[in-house]
Amino acid sequence: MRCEEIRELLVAHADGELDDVERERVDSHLANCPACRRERAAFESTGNLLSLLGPVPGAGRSISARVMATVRGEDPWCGHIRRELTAFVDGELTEAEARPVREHLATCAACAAESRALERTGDALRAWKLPSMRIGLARLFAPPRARGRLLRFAAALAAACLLLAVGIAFFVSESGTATPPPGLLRAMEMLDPATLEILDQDPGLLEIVRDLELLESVTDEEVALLTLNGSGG
Amino acid sequence: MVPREVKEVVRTDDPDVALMLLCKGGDDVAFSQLVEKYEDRVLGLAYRYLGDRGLAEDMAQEAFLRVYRARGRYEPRAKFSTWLYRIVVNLALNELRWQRGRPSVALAVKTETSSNVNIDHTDSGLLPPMETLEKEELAVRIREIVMELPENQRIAILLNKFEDLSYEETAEAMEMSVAAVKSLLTRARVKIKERLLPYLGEDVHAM
Repeated sequence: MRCEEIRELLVAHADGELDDVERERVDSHLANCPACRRERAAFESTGNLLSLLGPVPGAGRSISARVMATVRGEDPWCGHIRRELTAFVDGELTEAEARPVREHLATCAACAAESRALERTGDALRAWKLPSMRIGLARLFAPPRARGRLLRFAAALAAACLLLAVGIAFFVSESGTATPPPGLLRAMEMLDPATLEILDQDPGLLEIVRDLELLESVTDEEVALLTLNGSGG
Repeated sequence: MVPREVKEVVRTDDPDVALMLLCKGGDDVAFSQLVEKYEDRVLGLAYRYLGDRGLAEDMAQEAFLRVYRARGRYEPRAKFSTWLYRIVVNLALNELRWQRGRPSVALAVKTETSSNVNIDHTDSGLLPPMETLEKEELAVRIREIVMELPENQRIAILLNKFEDLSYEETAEAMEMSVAAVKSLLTRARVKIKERLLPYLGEDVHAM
């Protein structure tokens, strides 16, 4: 065999991975070829050098805990319970539907914690008033603008409420109080026209606004007017 | 018509296969035993491949979660460890997020101080014997060189040299032929040898 052919086999030779026939051919070549012997020695030395890296320091431990926590969260029954949980804390399940949820919460700490978090978020949403809404409505109704403006406002309100809901959830988790961050209050009045145009296309957002129960500071007449305009297109 | 023979080797001699079959049957304790047994090895492989501890932890976690999610379809056709390594290799080679998220070689090496490069101070077979400081510098240099290898060569070297997989097991984990693995390892070792020539003994310098 020529040296080029032998050198293709030298790494496997150094690793002890050649079959008997190949090994004998390489051995007989090495016996007569000092250059290939040196090449073979170099491969063996580099193999030894790689061992200098050793094991990874302080490996593992946290991986096991993280994996098992995720796995428990992926329990199919937990998944089913989580999908029912919002309706459960809102008291919207029938007794037959609520019973297995209640039983599961008694034994699953993760789902019970999720349930408590949902309850706190709901309380925070209900507790929060929107004092600036009247001003916004008054300003909106003052100038006789195009008819689509009312619907646009309703959509903006819906978007703002969604923003606020997310904000509250975040804020409550951070501080344990229900005061809305000032940035979100400003955001309500600063939605850009392009966003409003998009939201105009979905009158269903009005329903979300009503469901969120955030309109306590807006009069019934104003809500009725918004709804009429929204549903009338 | 002769029915086609289904060649299927069931590994009954591997205790980890038995654990995985328990896991398949719904035993999460068996799964946690497997995770605890292999977490260091999987994390080590991911860490050496990515050069970043945080990313390596994410990859190791993802690998075990894939094992768990695949438990229902699990069939013991290979050693459990080979199957597990195949999942890690798939993540490493086929998921761009690990390549996108991987810091540059320079960064990976820069953040690797001598204090967290774990040196094996036992005799490494070098001629002549090296001082500890030289070994630490050399370990950093080796890490650099391994990180510079193309992904498939790097993973082949890591499986073969650090996880002690044979060529056949490496081929199985990488889902390629033994000949292809042999070729990958040869190319990788030639590159490593060329870059490490200054550290090799005098007898190989004479080439």
